[in-house]
Amino acid sequence: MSTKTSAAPFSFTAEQRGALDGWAKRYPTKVMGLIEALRQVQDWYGEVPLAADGPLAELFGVTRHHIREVVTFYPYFSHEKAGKYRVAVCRNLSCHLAGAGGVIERLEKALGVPEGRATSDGLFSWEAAECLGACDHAPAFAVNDELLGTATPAAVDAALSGCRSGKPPKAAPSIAPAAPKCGDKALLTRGFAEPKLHTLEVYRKFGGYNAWEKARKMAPADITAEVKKSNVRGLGGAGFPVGMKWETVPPKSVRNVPHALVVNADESEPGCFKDRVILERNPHALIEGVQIAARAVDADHCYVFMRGEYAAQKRVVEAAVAEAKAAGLLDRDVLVMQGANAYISGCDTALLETMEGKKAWPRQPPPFPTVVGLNGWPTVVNNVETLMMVAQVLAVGGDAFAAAGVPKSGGTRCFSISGHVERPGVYEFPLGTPFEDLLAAAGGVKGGRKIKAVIPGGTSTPVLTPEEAAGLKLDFDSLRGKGSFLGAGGVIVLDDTVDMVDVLFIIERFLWVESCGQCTPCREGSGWATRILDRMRKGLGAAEDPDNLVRIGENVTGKVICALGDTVGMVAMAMIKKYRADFEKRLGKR
Amino acid sequence: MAKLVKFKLNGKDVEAPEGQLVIDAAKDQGVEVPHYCYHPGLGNPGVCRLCVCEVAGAPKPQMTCRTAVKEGLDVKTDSPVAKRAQASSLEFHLANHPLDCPVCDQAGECHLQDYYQRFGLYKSTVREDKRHKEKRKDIGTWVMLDQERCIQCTRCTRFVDNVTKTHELAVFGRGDRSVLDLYPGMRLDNPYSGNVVDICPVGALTDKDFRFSVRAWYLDRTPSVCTGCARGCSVEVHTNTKRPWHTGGRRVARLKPRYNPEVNGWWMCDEGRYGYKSADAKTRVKGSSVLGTDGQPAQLTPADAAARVAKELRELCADNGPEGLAFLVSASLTNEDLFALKALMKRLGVPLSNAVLAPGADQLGEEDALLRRKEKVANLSGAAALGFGVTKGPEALKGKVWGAWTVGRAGHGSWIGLPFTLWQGANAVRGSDTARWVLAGAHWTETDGTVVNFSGRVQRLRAAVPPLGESAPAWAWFGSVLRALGGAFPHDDAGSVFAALSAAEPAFAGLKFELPKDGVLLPKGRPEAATA
Repeated sequence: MSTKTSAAPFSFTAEQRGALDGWAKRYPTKVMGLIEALRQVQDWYGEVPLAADGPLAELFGVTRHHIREVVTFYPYFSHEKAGKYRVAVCRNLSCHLAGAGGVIERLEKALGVPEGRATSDGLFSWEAAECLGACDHAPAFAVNDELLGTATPAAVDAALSGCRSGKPPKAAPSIAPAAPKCGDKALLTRGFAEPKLHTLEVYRKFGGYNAWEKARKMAPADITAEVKKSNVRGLGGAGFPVGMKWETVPPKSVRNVPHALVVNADESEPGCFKDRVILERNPHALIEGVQIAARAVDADHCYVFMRGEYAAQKRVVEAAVAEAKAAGLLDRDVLVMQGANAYISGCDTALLETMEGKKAWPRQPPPFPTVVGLNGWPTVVNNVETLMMVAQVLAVGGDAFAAAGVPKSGGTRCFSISGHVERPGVYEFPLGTPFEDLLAAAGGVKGGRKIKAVIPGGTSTPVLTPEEAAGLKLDFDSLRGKGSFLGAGGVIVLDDTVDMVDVLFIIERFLWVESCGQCTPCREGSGWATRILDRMRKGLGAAEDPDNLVRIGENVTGKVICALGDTVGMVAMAMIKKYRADFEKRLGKR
Repeated sequence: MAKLVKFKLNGKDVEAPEGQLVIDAAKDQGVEVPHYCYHPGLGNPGVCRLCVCEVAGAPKPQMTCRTAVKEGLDVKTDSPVAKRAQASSLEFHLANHPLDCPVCDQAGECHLQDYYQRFGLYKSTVREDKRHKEKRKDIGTWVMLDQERCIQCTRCTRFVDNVTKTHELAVFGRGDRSVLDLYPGMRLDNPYSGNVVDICPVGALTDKDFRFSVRAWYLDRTPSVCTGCARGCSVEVHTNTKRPWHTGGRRVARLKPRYNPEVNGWWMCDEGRYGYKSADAKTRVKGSSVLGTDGQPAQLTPADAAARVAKELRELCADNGPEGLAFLVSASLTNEDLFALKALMKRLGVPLSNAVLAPGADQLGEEDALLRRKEKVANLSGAAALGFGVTKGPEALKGKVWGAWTVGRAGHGSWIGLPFTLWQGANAVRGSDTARWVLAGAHWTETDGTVVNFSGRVQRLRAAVPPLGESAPAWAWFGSVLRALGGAFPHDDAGSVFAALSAAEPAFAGLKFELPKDGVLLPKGRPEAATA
């Protein structure tokens, strides 16, 4: 833990106190502002000084040990004093395939310090990050959470010298391809060719806010009925029918407390970046969806909880909210809240814990968040894309939306595709579209090589062989039929040069790093599997290792609180079952 | 009380209150489900994932500590799926555990060891290096922390968060890099710190006072009651007589709180916990004596002591009147002691108001909302119920007495020089050696008897070890002197005294010496005088 930080006498300046007070007053409870306040303190000091715990605890009405638990939990808060500019290079799967290892080596050499340590001038520190949500720009990098795209040597050098001359680079409003090739049934990405789609004026040209105008005149129950008819499902990964979720919110006539609507914009699943792209290109669609959903579930408070690394996207959404507000389009205000870079915050109940200023330890339902959620209020947590689709449902009508997809799963969705494809990016297709169509849209396998494996829904989903992927319909139920999941629709294509031991190592290492540590099987199993795989990739595998990995997998799966834990097991079991030869090749002498 | 419902446990039809946790309902049925994070006094976060069961109709295994009993529930804790899940959870708990049992003080009472034997017994496949953390961290007056052994069940952090609300400990960090640690700069020095050792299911938190003295399996355990204050916490007295050299001859090795929902719950305070040391302290008075004309104490056999004290008292009472004899008595004396005292005073003709039981300055201390009472004596209510005055100090008697018989409390100070001075007790205190007569008293851990706590609950003290040397319980001394005076005191043990007491004293009418383990309330309630 970071007890080494200086404990010298400490007080915030009047100006700093003003800023911190602002966080304490921004939300219905003081402690909801804690994580963002701590981010600010980290930015001011390059750490959260131990001596600041007291003043912060007082300000936010918690104990000092609460502050320190939070600080040592979230990766945004550094273990030692970080550089003024924190350079992060993604080391996760898609970026690894694109040469992240070399970038990291070069960076370490250029800065001359080990990971996490500040350079002697205090200007830089660097870290190998776990997925920055930019697999379409692999290997991706960021400086102080400004996502800067592909980490070519030139781009990294330019960023460093910009920082040195006091002009740190800012993420462009959009680092996504300007016009992704969309299926002709596109709803969300329809206007993507339009560079100013993120402005209210252009958004309205595409019929923006008409759905909201319509919904504003509808009874809340009728909105939910329409959404149910549409068969739209949760696109954050779970695929739970949206209308059904909304219906579980108890009406205020039963329990008269505020309701909350939380947009889960904590996209962090390796292989998934669609929320980032649609947020920066089409923010008004989200705001429209939020207004509609909030009316349906009688929400008093609306939040967009955004992963910390999406700094530019946060600016885009906040600008759009301001614009919509000025135009009188908002019945309810929308506040954008930033996390502190923990993957687990993306799990809905952990997200609520983060919002409440705590460690992101998932809760154990029941009760479900729709009954007891944020601050104990009934809370609907929906993914970014899900709520954007809600706006489309109201625009085209529930039946028409449903007709675009497959039975039980209506409409279109945005797929992220990365790895060994020619044009990684976000492509919108109706649910049930064959895998080949998506692959073709992305320009096919890079260099025309053969596919070795397909990860269908982000690295948390069990791998598919080319045979399983052939002709596979991309929808929730078809994927379940193959023993995998559509998840958040993050497809990673792996060609025949890839070694599956490396792939599984990267996935398990990610889960080990991100495991919150609450449940024993996941906390211990993820690290155990990672250490075995690390040994195997160094050629020190033992004959029983593959079976042991499967056994660890079986023993974690289904015994833990949240889905991250299940992933630890499921991913390993599928990988070893389907690519055992790769693992047996790594057996060595011990 | 919730209504009883029928459900199936391991195929057997059983009944339990609706809403009770399955883990507790199973325990009531004699079915043990292994668990670490769940503690009835600290809640059920459900994080250790050890108490796994199968519930019919549930898509995946459930935790018995998170499943409530309801009508028709069909739960199995012994199915192959549940047993494998329990065993594998143990394996995960041990994956980074150092397995340093030979040098671990918890060995023998460690839930990792016990559960491995009962629910594990798998062949370990961990080949990897273990995570290293701090092994020996002195975190407080009484407690040592080994971070490597910690399984992060969070019982101790919940204790300092929710019970003492002192927040010294927390789990910092994330994933398997998390560590249990003190908040930087703090020490675990709250008045209840020893409890974290009891609730730690493994050897992460050990007792600095006890560690490395004697292995847990050599200890004998006797249920009794702490006499450190008017709370009267239920305790177990752990004694080491099998390997005396391990504790340097100390017979009492430690105290542990004994669950009593009516008195102390699961806890006890450090003051009481480490108060046991007086049992084998150098200050113990092992024999009786009388000061000779040369000012030196001469040893007396118990029989001689009783006979000579009786003779002297008979003469002094005859010459000066019995109302000039005062008894300064600790209200930690048992009801049996006080009953015998009452009989002795009656025989001598000393009025009961000559007995001073109100706590002296040395018998008052700190009080809090959790357990500790400011009166550091165990039987104030019992004394009141037996008719003794427990509020007035000795001031009223000053200048009117020719003799002072002091029992189990500080010496008589200003009464030095009176014709009769007697001090009786287990541990010498300031002034005790200035008394002409010294009678060796038994320690409370050597005593059978009953005490009544501040709320009027009668509980049993049980002798864990025999009285040291020629020391004896107070009732035996009073009885011997009484007999030497020609009175009747036909009792050889505390049980017999209690039988006479409950027959004679209306406040105790109908009570039996073999009290239930949680004790019982006085039939007529708490005596008023004890509340003052």
